[in-house]
Amino acid sequence: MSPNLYFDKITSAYRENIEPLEQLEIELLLEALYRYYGFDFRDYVLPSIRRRIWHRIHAEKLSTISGLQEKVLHDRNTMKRLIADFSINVTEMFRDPSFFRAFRTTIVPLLQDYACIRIWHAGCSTGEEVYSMAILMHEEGLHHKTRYYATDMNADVIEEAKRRSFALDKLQAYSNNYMQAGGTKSLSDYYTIDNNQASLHPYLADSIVFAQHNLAVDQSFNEFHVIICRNVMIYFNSVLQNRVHTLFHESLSRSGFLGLGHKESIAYTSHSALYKEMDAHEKLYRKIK
Amino acid sequence: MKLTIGTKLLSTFLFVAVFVAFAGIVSFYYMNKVNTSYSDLIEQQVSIVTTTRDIEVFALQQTNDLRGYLLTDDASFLSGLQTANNKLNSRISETDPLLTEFESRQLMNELKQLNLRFQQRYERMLSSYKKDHDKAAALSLFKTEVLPLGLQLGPLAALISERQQQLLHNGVKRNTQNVNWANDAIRIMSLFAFILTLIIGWMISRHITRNLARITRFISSITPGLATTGLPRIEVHTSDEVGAIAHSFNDMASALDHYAAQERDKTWLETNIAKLVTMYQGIHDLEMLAQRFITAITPMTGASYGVFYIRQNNGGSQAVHKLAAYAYNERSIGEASFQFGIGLVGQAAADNQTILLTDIPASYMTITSGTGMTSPGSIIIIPVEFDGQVVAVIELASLTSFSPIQQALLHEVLDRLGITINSIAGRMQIEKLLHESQTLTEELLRQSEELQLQQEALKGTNEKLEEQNFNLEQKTKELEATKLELEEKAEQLALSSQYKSAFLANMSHELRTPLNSLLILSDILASNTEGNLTPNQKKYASTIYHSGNDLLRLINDVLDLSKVESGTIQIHYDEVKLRSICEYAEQQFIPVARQKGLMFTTELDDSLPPMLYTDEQRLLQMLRNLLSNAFKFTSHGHVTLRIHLADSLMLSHLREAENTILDESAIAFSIIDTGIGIPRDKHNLIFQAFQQADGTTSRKYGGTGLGLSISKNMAKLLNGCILLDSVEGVGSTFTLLLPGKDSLPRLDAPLLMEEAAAAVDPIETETESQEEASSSCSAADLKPIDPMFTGTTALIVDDDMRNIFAITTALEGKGMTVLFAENGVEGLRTLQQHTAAIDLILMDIMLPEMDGYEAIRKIRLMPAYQSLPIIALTAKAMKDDRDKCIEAGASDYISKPVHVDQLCSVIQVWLNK
Repeated sequence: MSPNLYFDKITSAYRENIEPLEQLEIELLLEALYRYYGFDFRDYVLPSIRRRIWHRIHAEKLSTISGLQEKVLHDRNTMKRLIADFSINVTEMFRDPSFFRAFRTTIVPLLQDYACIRIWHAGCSTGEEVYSMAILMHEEGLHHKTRYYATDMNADVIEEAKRRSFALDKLQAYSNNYMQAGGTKSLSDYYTIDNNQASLHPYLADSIVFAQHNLAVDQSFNEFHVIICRNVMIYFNSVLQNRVHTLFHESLSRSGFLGLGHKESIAYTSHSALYKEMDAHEKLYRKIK
Repeated sequence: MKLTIGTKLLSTFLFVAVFVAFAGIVSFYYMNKVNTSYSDLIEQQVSIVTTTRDIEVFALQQTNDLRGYLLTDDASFLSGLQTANNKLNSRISETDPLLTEFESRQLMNELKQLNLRFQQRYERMLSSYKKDHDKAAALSLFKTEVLPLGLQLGPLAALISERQQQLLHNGVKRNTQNVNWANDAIRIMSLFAFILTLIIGWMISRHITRNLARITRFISSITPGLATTGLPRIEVHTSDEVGAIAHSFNDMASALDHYAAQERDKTWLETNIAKLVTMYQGIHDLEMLAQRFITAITPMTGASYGVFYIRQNNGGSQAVHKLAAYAYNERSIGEASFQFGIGLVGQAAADNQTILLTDIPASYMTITSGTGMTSPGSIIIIPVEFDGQVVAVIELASLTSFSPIQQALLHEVLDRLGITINSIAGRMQIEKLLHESQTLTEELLRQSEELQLQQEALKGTNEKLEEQNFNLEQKTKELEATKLELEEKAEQLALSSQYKSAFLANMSHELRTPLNSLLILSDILASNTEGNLTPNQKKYASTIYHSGNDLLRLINDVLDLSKVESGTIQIHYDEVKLRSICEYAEQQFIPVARQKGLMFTTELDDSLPPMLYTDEQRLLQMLRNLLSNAFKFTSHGHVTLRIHLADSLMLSHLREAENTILDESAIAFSIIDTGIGIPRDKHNLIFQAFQQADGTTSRKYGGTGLGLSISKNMAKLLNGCILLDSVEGVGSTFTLLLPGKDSLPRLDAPLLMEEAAAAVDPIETETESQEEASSSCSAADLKPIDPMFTGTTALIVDDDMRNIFAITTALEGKGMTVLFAENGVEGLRTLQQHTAAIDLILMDIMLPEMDGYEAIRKIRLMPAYQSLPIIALTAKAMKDDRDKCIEAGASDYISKPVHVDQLCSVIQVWLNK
């Protein structure tokens, strides 16, 4: 029995709690979303997508998934709200600081000799992570030759990311993260507070390209030296995870680096043999084949 | 004959040694012989030669001595002669035996005789001389007889010597011949020995090496390839050591052959085991393991058919299930699983014993291929165990029988397979669990992210609410501010109104004084007491008087109004009888009514209380104003004063319109006329000062227009009000409402004013102080006061006063209170003194006495300050410093020199709660 089958077996354990009718409704809704609007959530992990659907149903004061389907198909705004619900934009600056610390100590020395560095943040959400990376690269003296590609399937969050501003109340946590991530300066060197918003200095965004890109349907758009995709694939089932891994593998340059989320792993995918572990705990990998 | 190499060598070398020894002895003998004869000869001849020389000398000496004696007669010559003669004789006797040669002997004898004769003659001569002393005779004797003898002695001795020399020479010659001969003999013998040794050596070595070479050739001809087919044997021809070597080699070869066979088996076993073990690597599930294993082991053991059964526990029953097969034919043999103890497979599993079957009947099973089928020769069923438990069973069928080595392989391999199966099963289990845990972890993370999202959404909503709330508060504040502003304005207005009223009051007073004299004088003139005025003049004087009176009334009204407005009017509450009010009105206005041809009535309701509590003077003044108005604007009909209780309709209107304390006990004074009435749109206007319904300059009715205004204000002062109900052309009803007797008087209006002003004051002072604050920091070019900073307190611990000054200026400019300390100790003290007041600490690191790290640590040890934001100020670019700061417990850090904007940003971040 292959590992993926195991995986699906376990995920099907959640499915068992779902009534066949509800399951059908969910599948129909997702199919409708894909067929009519082109958004493909069919390979998202079911329990999560189910919760998001019910969240939207309650918010729309509906009672059934079919009811939501009707509304989604006939009202574009409802569709937009549902899609927004599906995209979980939880992020923070230097989230899981140890990841950034490991990146700094393990990967950065290997990037020093590159003439130019291209980093892709797949699923960048509101941009905290790509700005964190820019700060890190700046401190390591690599910012000037680095180009960042921050993509997300949700156009709204990209617009938000472009603003470079974050709520003031998050900055304490960000400062702590920054310090734990081995920052060599002070996070306050990079922002100014104005009107209860922390605005990052514009030079950090100089070489960041923000774009809409859907991992479930879109193709590769460049070759990258580093791809960071953290806590995105946890929402995908094994089929979609495999697709994304293939996409990343195609998009990575020779000996390129891949960074995943703390709770993610390449270990149970068919791509595990293509990478070498750089830091098993921080989920940093290097392409070897 | 058994001749060993040792014997051969020994005999050869013995022979050579004997021969060499013989040759040596021979040559030694000759050499010795030559040597001895030679030295004897030399010695003999030399001594002979020496003595013959001595003889020569002594012969000469005795002649000379004899001669000397004869010549000198000296006796010493005689003794010399004697000695020489003696010596000569001894020499002759010495030499004589030495002479071996005949001729030499004769010569010696001759010499001996000669000397004897010489001796006899000189002795005779000497005795004759002694007797005669005849010198001459002696001399002639000497000359004739003695001397020729003496002279013969010398040559004779020389002859002997010469003869001996000759002999010596001959001896030497003979000796040299001997030596040469000996040398030749040695040379020949050496050559002979050399050749002989060479020949024997060559023969022996040839004999030994030929055998050895044969063996060497043989051994070296053994190649690695030969080792597998078996080693060849050497034919033994000799019985010597070489033969022994050949024998030993043959023994060794057979031992090696045996060993090689064992080794081959072992290698085969090990290779196959290794092959299988390497095959296990990278296998992660049992099915693959079983398939690969059976596919590998079946050909290895020469079997043609193989099945792999794995044990599975289904509840209580134990069974083995087919997991993989090799050349398996499902049609002919259908058992997919066996219960323990059932069938041979089950039996093998239950007993944990190998079952080997031979002589299989043809119908048992068939092994099929494309070209035919056959039945197996033997079947082996082997259980695989781990830890004493059967975990799998292997069944193999072979056309031939299983050789011991194949069986050994099977057992060896299956022992290890048990471990592998167990580890793979364990691994699968772990992998499964890991996967489950991974999936669950991911699910947890998803849920947590979703929750976080919802939380943020809630937070967003909350914030929005807060914002709305804030906006509302802001609006309220704005409203309050507006209100305050308005109140201020009102007060200013009131003040200016007060000023105006005071001015008017003063003016009125100042006006009244000259007006009074004018009135009095014009009145005197008009009465014309002296009678010297013309009627016209009298009329003028009267006009002056009336106009003056009008003016006076106007001034009084203005004064009243101003008094009322300025609040300087005095109100004296007292009990007022309603009856007396009516009486007063009648008394005052009946004449007017009569004069204008109008009817005037007063009505007093029965239900009224007999009296009310108010200021009588003001009440009468108001009624007077209202009644005179009524009479003024009424040309026919009637005017009525009606005193009654306020009806509920009136009160409800009133309550809607304005706040009032009037209730059902209020007393109403209604003045009803049938005059011109007032248009509805002018109802409000007429109560304003100097206003009439007809505002044009050509107005028909005189009057100051102040009456209603004054009345209204007075009514207000007495906590009452005046209502108007009028229809144009029909008439008007003015109703004065005053609180009934039960109602308590309200606080005076000016008092209220004062309170409001008191309430306004602090705000005013605050704005002033803010203005001051902002003006004080304008020099530092700072943003205006920030609500985030106001009311917060920071403690700066720094020993650099310039720094403290810069930061203090900046932060105070933002509305923050700043405390400072110059070192850690002082900082701690300050912190303790201001316990709850400090919201944030800015801590320099390089401090005297107690450094920043220490101070931060100390602060963090105090339970109250564990979460107090502490921002460390560190020297630039020292990463180490920063790490130490964080370790010590600082919340954040900024580098010196401190930029005000950055500092303010950081402070905002950490003040945010």
